[in-house]
Amino acid sequence: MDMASVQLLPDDVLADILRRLGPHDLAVSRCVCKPWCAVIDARRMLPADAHLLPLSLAGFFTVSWTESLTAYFSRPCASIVVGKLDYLDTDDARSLSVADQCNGLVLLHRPTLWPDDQRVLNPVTRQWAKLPPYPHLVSPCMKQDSYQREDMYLVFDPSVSPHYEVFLFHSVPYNCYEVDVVDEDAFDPAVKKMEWPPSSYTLRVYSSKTRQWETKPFIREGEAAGTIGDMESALSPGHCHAAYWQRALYVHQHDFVIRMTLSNEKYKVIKLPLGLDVRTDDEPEHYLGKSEKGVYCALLYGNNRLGVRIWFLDEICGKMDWLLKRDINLGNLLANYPWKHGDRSWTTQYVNDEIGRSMTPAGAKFESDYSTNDNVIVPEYTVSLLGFHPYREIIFFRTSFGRAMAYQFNSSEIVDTGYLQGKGPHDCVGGSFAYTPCRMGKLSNNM
Amino acid sequence: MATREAGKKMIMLKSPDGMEFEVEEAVAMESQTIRKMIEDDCADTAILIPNINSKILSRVIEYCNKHVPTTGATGAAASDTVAPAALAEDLKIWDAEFIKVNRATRFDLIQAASYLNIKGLLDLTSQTTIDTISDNSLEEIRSFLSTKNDYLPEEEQTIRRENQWAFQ
Repeated sequence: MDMASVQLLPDDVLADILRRLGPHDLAVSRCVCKPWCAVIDARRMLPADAHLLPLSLAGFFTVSWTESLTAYFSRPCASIVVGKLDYLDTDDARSLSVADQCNGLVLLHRPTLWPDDQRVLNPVTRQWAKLPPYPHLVSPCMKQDSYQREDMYLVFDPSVSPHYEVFLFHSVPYNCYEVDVVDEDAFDPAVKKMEWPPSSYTLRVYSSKTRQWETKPFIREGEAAGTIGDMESALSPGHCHAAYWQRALYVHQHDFVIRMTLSNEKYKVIKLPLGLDVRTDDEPEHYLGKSEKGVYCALLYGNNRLGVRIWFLDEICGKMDWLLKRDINLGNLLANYPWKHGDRSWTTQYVNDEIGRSMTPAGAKFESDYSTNDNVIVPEYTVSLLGFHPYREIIFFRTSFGRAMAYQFNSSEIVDTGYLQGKGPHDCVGGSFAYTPCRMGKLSNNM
Repeated sequence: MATREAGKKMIMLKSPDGMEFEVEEAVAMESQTIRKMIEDDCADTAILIPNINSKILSRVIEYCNKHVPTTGATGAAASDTVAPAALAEDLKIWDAEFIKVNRATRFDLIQAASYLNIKGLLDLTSQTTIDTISDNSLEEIRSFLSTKNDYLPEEEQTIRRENQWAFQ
């Protein structure tokens, strides 16, 4: 007798129930039976628009190089509100920093804390999940693994799965410059001759499906980038960005890119493009990112890094070629640039600051900084990269004075996007992550 | 059923099977539908609640009596002495008891809560259904909720493809 069916409920009542479901459950519910599908579709409960899947750029999360400040620099039209992170259950939101993003989820960590504290956050739904501690991995080529930097990357593709994964990479072992006494055993000749990355590269992978860390060996196809000895003296680059594109994860390391194919656990090494005549007065800076047609790489080079080269990774027929798309001299473009942000300016908000200041464009202040030096770029004027637009061929920069701008490949023009305020004139962007809001993906801790 | 107390405005609710329930206005106004009727002055003597039989209506009133803010039926004294957290805990236990009903009654309560627009009651009564949908595969949802799959195989394939991401 207890066979009463949901099908006896009137449509409005059924709608009242279904309305409480998240997008993923709604999508499943559409397939239960025709009346359910009709109820969901008639009321547009499952919109196929930008708010569901991460299809539009809302802003950038930027991490300050010198201060532990995370800013959210957002477009004026964005209907998405990203508030302060004070809803995370920590009494020290300030030390949380952004490590990566992927399709609407953001990976947070505490670089200053040991053991590290990693969380995956959806800033739109304000759902988050804390990751369990990752397993310790003793690298076979090191007696101590303390000189191997570790980087974490997030993979989330709601068009494929509601689950996300976090990949933990250990980088090439290096001689730590700051350490006076180097463990001599760490770099014995046999280690120096070893290939990097290793032919079987063990990653620690966290899956939200199993809620566990696993160690997974990825098998190299093709040549290694070099030997550990080759890379020993190289400066460790700043934040190494990653890009996710069509079930492959591209991770910048040293002077190469590792392309991990997630379906078959194999990987390839792709050398980063340099360009033969790049004379570097400053340390060049690479930025790897996803944009309109796939994976792109930008290089800042030259005096004050005002030279910018942008390549597209051409993967047709399995060959990996960097095609040079643009070689720009930002110095020329900026010299006479009439900064006019108007009311289309982006805004800056500090998301992990106790004060939580929200910044509106401080155009007047900027102009006064510059009034003494009308048409000339001041020597300290350097540029950092904010990243690529994920869906259009546009790249975003920030000058050392906090002006942010977008460069469109097609028109070769720059557009003023406003004022990304830092903590001082020389405050640099240490890491920057394009944010595309997405309501998908269930995160459990605060549900 | 509530008894008349000094200074408390009472409302008469009638079920279609002829039963009458006299309730405090504050209790009846837990229902947004009734609240609107009262505020629009459409409720002079008695309000007829269509489609909700007396058995279900009495249970709905029982729920509203329990959930009306404590200056009402449960008396001011209780709210002075009992901490809010303890009250909330007490309500949770009460709710869990209240919802121990068979499936037919639960669906009747869902309908009543939906028509009368009582958010708390709708949350409570539809949670089991929500959990069933959230935690199970498509086939399990159909079987647990006794819904008939009326898609032709090729139709089902098409609709699954539209939301492919939800099935991997």
